[in-house]
Amino acid sequence: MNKRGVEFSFGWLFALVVGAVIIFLAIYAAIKFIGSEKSVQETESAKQLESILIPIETGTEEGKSTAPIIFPAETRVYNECNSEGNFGEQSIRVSTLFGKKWQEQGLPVVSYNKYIFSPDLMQSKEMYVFSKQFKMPFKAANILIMWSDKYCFENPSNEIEKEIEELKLNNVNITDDITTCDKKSRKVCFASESPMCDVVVNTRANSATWKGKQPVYYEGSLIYGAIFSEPEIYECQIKRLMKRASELALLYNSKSELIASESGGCSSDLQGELKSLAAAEMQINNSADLRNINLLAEELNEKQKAMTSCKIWGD
Amino acid sequence: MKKIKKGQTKIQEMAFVLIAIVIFFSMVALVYFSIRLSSLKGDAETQREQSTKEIIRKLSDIPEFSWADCSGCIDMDKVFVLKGKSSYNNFWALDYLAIEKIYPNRTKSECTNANYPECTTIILINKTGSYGSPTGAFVSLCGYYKEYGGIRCELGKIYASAKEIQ
Repeated sequence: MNKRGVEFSFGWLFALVVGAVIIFLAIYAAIKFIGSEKSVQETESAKQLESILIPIETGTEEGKSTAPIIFPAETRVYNECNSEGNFGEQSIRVSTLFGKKWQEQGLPVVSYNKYIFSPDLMQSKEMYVFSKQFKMPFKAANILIMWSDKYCFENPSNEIEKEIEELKLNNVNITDDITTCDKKSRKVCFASESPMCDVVVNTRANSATWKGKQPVYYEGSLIYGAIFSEPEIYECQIKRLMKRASELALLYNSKSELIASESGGCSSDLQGELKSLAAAEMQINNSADLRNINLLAEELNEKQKAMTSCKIWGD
Repeated sequence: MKKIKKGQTKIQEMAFVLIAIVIFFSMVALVYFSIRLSSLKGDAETQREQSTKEIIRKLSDIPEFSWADCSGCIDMDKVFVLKGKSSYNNFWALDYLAIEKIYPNRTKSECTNANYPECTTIILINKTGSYGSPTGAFVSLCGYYKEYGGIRCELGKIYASAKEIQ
């Protein structure tokens, strides 16, 4: 027997194997645990962001903006929209930069009554948001416009220019010449179709076209949604908005029936149009149908305006 | 024979020590996770409570509730017809939502087609038995009253609660 050799008894071998297994399991559990903790943090951030958005969305004002939402670190906010179901779904996910690595997205925070118009991915430490009322002809919702990049609007209409100033949208610049725009900003052109434009708005056709994408159509306050939001998100949110507006039209119809039964027919003239509007809104295919729906809504509004009493929604 | 026995005892000792270490760390992990879980539960409930308060604050501005002629008032006629609409299930992340008329005083009764508007309470959402204690806020409740021949607003309260996390 070689006495100078290292003696490896079975006990040692057993301890080494089991020790290695324990260390491996401990490291594996720690990695998994850190991963799930980060996922919890990201989900909490998304939930907090959702809570912050509630008061911005609230209000009877036509439009409302707030100070930028500042995150503790560089953050990615993912906006997802699903138009299936009674009202569709709006979900947001958050992922933060940790060192040089982006963390895995947290769980989605889902809501059925929010409409966030934004790119599908926003990345910054600061996010900007404002809300606008959407009426057709009654108020259907307050839409939220959210973005993180700088924007440069070339020759917008006076109305839009005034609204941007009133809403104090600090990182949206207005210019007469697109070449003076910040190089990193997203350029929105109202009067030209220069190749430098990222979004071209045609105010005659009520359309907005993102570079390399199909045009989307807007009515009223939806112009901001069309400019700031990815076309796919925009079309999805329009379908969701129309579902909500359709349900509201049916709700106003039921209210009209209730009042009419109590008052001897008051407001019953509106019921036919309310049902037609609800049906048209429910059958929307894409934003190109908005114009026809808006015509129906305007007719309905005119009819209510002509009534001296029993108005069932406000102006 | 004696040597084998000694070796076996050593292995057994070592196995027991290793099992004891594993059990010890498992228990430490168990304690840590239970503390972490309860704090997570607390965080989630705080978030829900905050959301509920925000929802109550904005409820009177939501198109399904808002009264056209005054900001912050609730349209009882709309709320009453909303009660029967199943499409609105899950629309608000709430487990309990009720509106109650407080003044003028009436005998407490839930609104039905037979007694509306001479009733006090409309329960819109009542999903579970354990929704915690509802948060309340005073509001003006407006609607069409036949006996007054027109619109009338009364004092009321909204109650809302999000699900208590089990």
